[in-house]
Amino acid sequence: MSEAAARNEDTVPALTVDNGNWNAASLKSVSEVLNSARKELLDAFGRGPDASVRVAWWSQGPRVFFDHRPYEIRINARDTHWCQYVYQFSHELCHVMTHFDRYRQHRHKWFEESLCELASLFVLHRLARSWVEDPPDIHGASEFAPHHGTYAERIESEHRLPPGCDLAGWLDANIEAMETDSCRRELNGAVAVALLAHFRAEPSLWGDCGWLNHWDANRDATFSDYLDSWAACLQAHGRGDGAPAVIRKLFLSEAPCQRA
Amino acid sequence: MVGIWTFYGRRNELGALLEKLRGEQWFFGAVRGRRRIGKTTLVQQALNTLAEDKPGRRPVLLVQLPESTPTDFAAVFQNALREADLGSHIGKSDTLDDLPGIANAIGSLCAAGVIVVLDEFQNCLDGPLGPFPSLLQAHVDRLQDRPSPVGGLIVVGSVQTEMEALLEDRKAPLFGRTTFRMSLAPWNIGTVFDVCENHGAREPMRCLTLWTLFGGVPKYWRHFAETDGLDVIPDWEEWATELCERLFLRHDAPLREEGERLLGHELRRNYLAILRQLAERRSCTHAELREALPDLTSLGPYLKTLTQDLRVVEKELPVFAGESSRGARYVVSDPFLSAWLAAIQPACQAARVLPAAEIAKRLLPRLRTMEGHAFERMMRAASEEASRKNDGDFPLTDQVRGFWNRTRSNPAAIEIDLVAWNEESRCVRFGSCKRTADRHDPTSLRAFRQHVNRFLSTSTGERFTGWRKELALFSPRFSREQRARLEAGDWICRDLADFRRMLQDEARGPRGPLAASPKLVGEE
Repeated sequence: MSEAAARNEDTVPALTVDNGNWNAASLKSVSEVLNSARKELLDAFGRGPDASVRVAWWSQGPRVFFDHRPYEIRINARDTHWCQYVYQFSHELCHVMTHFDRYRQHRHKWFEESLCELASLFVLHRLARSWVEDPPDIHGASEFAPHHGTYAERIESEHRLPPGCDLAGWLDANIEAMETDSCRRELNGAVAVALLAHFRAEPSLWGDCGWLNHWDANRDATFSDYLDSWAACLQAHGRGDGAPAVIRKLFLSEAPCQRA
Repeated sequence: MVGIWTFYGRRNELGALLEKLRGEQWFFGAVRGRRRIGKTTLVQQALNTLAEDKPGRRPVLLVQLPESTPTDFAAVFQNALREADLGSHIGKSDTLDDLPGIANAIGSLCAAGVIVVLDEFQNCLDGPLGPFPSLLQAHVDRLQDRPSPVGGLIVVGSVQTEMEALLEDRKAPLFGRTTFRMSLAPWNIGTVFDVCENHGAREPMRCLTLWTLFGGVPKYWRHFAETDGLDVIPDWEEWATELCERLFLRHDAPLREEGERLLGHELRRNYLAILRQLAERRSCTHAELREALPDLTSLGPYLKTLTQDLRVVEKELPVFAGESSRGARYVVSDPFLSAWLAAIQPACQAARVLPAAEIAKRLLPRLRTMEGHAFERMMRAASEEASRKNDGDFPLTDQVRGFWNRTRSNPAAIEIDLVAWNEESRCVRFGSCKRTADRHDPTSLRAFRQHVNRFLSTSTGERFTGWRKELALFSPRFSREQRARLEAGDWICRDLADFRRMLQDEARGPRGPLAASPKLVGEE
């Protein structure tokens, strides 16, 4: 955990797991798994959420609710399918960490959705290692650890763009669809996979993502404007423009994409 | 390498039970299902899981009601109380040597937050323990009015009719008191695949043999899993012989007496005669049974109990209405009972005077025949299960249930192993099941097609006019060559490996392990 995050560990708002039909999993195991995922993501963001988080099971798709404090996340992962818990929870927690309910509807929401997909993959890869080095208190955790990596790779293989693909051209062809419907999973997944290696190599980029939704993105006519506003927001808060610059270079430059 | 036995299947039931146990409010639950179906294991697993959440904060007392006297029950109760170290919750003046004393103690324990589990609760329907439910009722009524948090009571029982009489009969003292009820069915096919995978029976023919013998009854599978050395036998015949010998026929075989025990425990006298007739003939009409069992004056009540209460027999209606054989037919639907009555029981008797190894070899032809019939049932169940999980290759909305009443003796015979359809996409799938893939030969394929065409020309089949039609072939295993040849002729091929993939929950990812399941106290 980063120094700042470690310093705040004791003050990070709690995560609680509600009673429900989690199949064979104990609440303690569920809590251990979710907390291990949370630790990885908060470590990357370098801070905790601004309120505590409650997680409950339901049969519908995973979701985090607007205006609920504590934040209320519902997932449909259950039993001991630990990778699926991590995948769903990390996505929703990333919404929390990027202040999803400050500005709820704008055309660039697809980017937030893609980042949340990226968060899931990022955390899965981190847990593949951390469950070996520092396993959570669940039965067979360290033996299970490699499954996190395999699970992430399976998802990545479904969304990976062809080698040598021109990301700018790809975005140009698909941005309208994503602006119309921010939750186009196959497109969000492709963006996430394109970003993954950069975020794995430089996890501090997540810190910049913690400043999303701090300005009204409805005023940003284009994705380029959106990145400009994000960079300006970061500068205003004494940070460099790391993440917006990486993303601009990847998705808005004319050159064929750099595959990491 | 064979895996360690763990808790298999029943995830939804376990989750539902845990949800109740974790609550702070009073509960009075009933868990029932036939013998060996895993009721006590389910409760035990739930309690173990609960202990992970609340270590030491939710004490539990598990008592198995004996089939004997109140004094014996009191002794059993006292022992259980001592073992669980819960005596401090009982008032010092309370006596624990009769039924009122036990009921009082249960009331005190529950009020103190203890979860009390009464296993084999059907034993107090009548006889010496008969007054116990009335005594318990007063405490249950008091506890449900108490403010939270309190403990809870779970009663577990195997004889369906007796549990219903205790809890659902309007005149029963505990009628309307339960806060939840759970009825356990046999494992689904997906769980059977998991167990086969982990316990050295991944090979499809072995999986089919085991399903034919055990259906989805967990306890029998556990006996198989704990039989050492079977997985290293390469040849099916040798493996099946050894399996039958070691599980059923040797003097120390764990399932040698199981059929008798099951029948003796759940059923009385005349039921056995009916079941034996049904198993021998595969299916019977009411009239055929009456002819075979002239001493039984009234068959109706027995058949009702077997079909509706015990659910070991299924009543099948004819597929074609208005044909000559219009009556319903009855079949033994419980695989273990069916195998026991048709083949295992006679073999066990023979093994008393002849070498078990020899009898086991002689059993194989009957086992193969049984497997043929079992495979049809297995494919129908697996098709439904895959469709329910939304992971199948054919989302079915219904399928033909019943028996084909234009059988081979009829020149216009129609008999199709599987007819399933999807109302929304207007697609119907016809299936032919063969125990070995090479029996899907040109003659059999031609006959299958003829049966389908004849079916489509009947008034029952007419409804599928204009629908898309699929012809599917099912076998435990298709080789690559067999599959390629048949698929080239536009046949759809599905084997057990296909269903295993469909039922695997791949999207959910791998499942983390649960701790190994310990043997239960009192398990033989």
